[in-house]
Amino acid sequence: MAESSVSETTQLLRAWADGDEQALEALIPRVYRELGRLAARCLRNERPEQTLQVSDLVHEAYVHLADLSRLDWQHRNHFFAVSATLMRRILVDRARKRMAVKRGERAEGIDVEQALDLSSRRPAEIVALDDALNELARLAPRKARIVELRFFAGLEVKETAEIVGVSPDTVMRDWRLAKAWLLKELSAA
Amino acid sequence: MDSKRFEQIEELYHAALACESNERSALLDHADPEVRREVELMLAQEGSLLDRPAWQGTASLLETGSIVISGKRLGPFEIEHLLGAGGMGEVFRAVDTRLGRTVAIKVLPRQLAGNPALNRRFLREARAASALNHPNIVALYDISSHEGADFLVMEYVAGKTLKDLIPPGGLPFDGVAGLGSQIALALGAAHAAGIVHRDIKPANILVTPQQQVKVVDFGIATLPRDGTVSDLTSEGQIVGTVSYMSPEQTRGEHVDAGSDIFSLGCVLYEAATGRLPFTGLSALAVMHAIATADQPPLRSMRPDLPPEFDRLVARCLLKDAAQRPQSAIELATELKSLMLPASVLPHVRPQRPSLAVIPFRLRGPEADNYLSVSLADAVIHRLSSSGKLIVRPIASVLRYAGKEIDWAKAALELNVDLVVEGVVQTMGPKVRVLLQAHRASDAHTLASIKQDGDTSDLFGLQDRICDAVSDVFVPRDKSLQDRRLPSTRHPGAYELYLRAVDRQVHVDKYDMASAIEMLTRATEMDPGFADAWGLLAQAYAQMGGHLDPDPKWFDLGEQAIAKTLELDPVQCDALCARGIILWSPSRRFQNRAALRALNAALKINPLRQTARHQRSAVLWHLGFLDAATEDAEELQLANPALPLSFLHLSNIATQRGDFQQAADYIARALSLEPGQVLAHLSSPVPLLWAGRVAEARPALDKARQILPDETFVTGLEAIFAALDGNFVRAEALADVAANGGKSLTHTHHTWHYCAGAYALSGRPEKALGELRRCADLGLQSYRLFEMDPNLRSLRTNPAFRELMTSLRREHDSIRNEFGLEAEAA
Repeated sequence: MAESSVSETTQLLRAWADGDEQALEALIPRVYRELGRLAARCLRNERPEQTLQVSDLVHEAYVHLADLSRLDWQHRNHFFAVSATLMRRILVDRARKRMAVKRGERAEGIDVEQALDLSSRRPAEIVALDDALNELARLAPRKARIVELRFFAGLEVKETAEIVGVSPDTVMRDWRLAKAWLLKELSAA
Repeated sequence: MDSKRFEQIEELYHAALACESNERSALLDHADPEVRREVELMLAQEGSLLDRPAWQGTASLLETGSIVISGKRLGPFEIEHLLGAGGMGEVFRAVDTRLGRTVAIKVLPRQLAGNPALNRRFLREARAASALNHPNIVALYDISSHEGADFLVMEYVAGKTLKDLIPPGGLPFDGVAGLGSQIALALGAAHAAGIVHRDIKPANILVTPQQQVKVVDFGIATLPRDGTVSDLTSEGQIVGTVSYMSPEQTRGEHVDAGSDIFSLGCVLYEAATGRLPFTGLSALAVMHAIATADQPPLRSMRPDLPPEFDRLVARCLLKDAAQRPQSAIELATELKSLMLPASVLPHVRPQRPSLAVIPFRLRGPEADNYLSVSLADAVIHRLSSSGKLIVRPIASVLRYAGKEIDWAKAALELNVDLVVEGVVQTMGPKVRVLLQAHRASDAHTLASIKQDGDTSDLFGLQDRICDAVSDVFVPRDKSLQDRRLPSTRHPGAYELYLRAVDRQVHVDKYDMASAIEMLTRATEMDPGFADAWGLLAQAYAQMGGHLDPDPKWFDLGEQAIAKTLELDPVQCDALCARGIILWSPSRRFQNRAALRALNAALKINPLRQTARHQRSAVLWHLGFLDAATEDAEELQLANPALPLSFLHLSNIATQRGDFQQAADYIARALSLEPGQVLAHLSSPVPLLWAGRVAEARPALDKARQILPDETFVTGLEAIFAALDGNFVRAEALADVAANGGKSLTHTHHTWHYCAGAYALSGRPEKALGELRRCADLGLQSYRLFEMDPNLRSLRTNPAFRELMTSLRREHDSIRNEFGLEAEAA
């Protein structure tokens, strides 16, 4: 990662944390690219000694993109928040495409969606979950946020608690409820 | 549904979960039917969709099934059992059936065997590891393959990992320092071969039941970037264990030896406290802490640890790699010297008896002459290292070599109470040593010693003699019994070493050259002969420092020092040599590094005079007058005939403003050695500063007469001219001196006097320029400059004040780093 890119990303994170929404717009493609790059590398089997979790992707993307010495915890939380949203968008988009297009199609090269196809989830489940999660966000936004962070970014309870700004116990409690509620919604669909 | 309804669902769901199943139906019965239906459905869900994160990497590709099972054979190796699984494969205990030797085998998993990139990496690991042959590194025996599986055959180490050995509150200090110094030696050897480990952590450090360290897993060690080998982690892969990463590793930057030193700092910290220096709730939090946070002070948890250890670990953990200890070997030296018993050396200790060992008379062919001095020198070393006697150095007894002596007379001349003297008889390979120990105060012969030996076993003979003499004066300390193992087993190399000892004690260019030649041959015969390397380093340092200005000597000296300390990080000669070379103009007076080497040397041998002398000089050049005085007085006590200690004391007194005392010390130096050149050079200075110009002038003339071309004297002459009001001449002389050639002593003193002449002549800018040169190159005592009466006119000059402030800041920083006492200004 080039020096300048790191410092730009760092700038953007700081600006966004200070309330500059345009900074977020500039940030998203960078994070998206980095997540995609990391996932693709995983697909190329360059790191076979371990199973790569989505949280590893997010953590590693942060370390690559940001100058840790110039950022604090608040910036990190912002970064994870945007990464969780992006991962959700990436996975759901891909699942929708998969449902629409017949198998056998092969994209040129290795892209992020292809890498993420290694997920064993059935596309329909992911799309249905996305709809149910939108409904949950309407009824109980914090719980939907927790699902996004836990499920789509793979974050730990403690990390999630820090980002959402509640205790880990509350995260556990909300997480349990949200899971049951979402599964109920999916089973009814 | 709306949020209100959702809240009711939430409440009932948690309530239902909280109660026993038999109470649950009662609870649900009382609820709103719609809410109840929702909650019942939720309670019935058993799906696992959300139990794992949305996405997981290539797990399916990686379900590793080991290709090796117990009892199976891999070529000649019979697998016994799995020892563990590391980052790059599984490790088994196995038996090499050809040799009956137990080995450890690391196998590349079959799934990866077809991956050329990984295979290359595996082989690269092997290549890196096989380049290393060190007692503290797990040896690699072989690289082999069997039915498509590649594997490494390694030394099997029966032991535990350091990870399993650190108790919650940390290890005892000696354990930490002992294991730590071995890890540092292993790293030193690897770094010298251009290999960085990159993953130093307790799990990679094996410790045998005999407390020998074996560093394992150079699995992610890579060869240095030289264009031929790609950096495995350049893609930014985060390898290594996060908690022990260096700040540069967390940033994904290129790492070098300094990174391993940081990781070793983490290991030392953990070994001492049972806690990691940098912690966090997640990997990222830890990395963030490593990059930005300061670790809790070691001594807040372990107040019993030596403060030097605390400072050492803190230096390892500095964020800026350039500020950390320069090499792993330096770390080994410091850790080992910290383990030595604290030297109780109050600087005045009149009750210590004084002793002289007279070079032994030789009865035999002249070719064996070297035995006379070298055996005496060995006895001197042994007796002085006890710290319980003041032993005259070899230089002060050389004049008795080869002469029949009256020991009582020698005792008087050398001002000692105890004398060891005797005869070495040689006949063919047979050697007999007959020694006597006498006490002058009551003319009593304390002991007679006879030792027989053979020239092929001089080391054993020397040891027995030292033991026997030592037993007479110093009750043997059981704990130090096995302290000194022979550093060579090669008799030829040892004989050359002894001959070289005899040569290099004469500080003479030609003797030194032949000492260097002999020691070079000795180290060729036995490259593992640490003492020969150390003496060679010292001979180079002396040659380059005093006898021959050719810069090659210091370069060679540095190589010999590195070699010595790799073999023995507490080899005193090499540390002294290091202190001399680092504190020299060509090495730009590296105060801190030189002080560290000299501190270690004096910890190892408190009576080591070269180190005392050099440390006293470093300290007063930095304005640490109390500490410098202590060293100078120790030196004087150990060797009353040495004029140098009085020259130190004179310089110190000058800085204290006690010019009369300073002049007296110079007079004492000259009374010991009327021709002492440095004493003559310095003699005008205190008189001049005291305003006694009339007395100073003849002293200056004398100095000029002895050394006609000396820039030091020209600098002083410039001051005289200025004091006479002849400013034009003063400036002209100062110009000549400041830009002039060599001085017998360090040129920073000349620059200092030129600054005085310029200041007196109304040229403050030029004066400041010279003072800055002094400060840049070794002479940076703000106390000296503030005391100097010739610089008086500068005292209100803002640039001068600024310079003094920065010197003072540096002074305080060194004081804190070395735990030097604050002195009353």
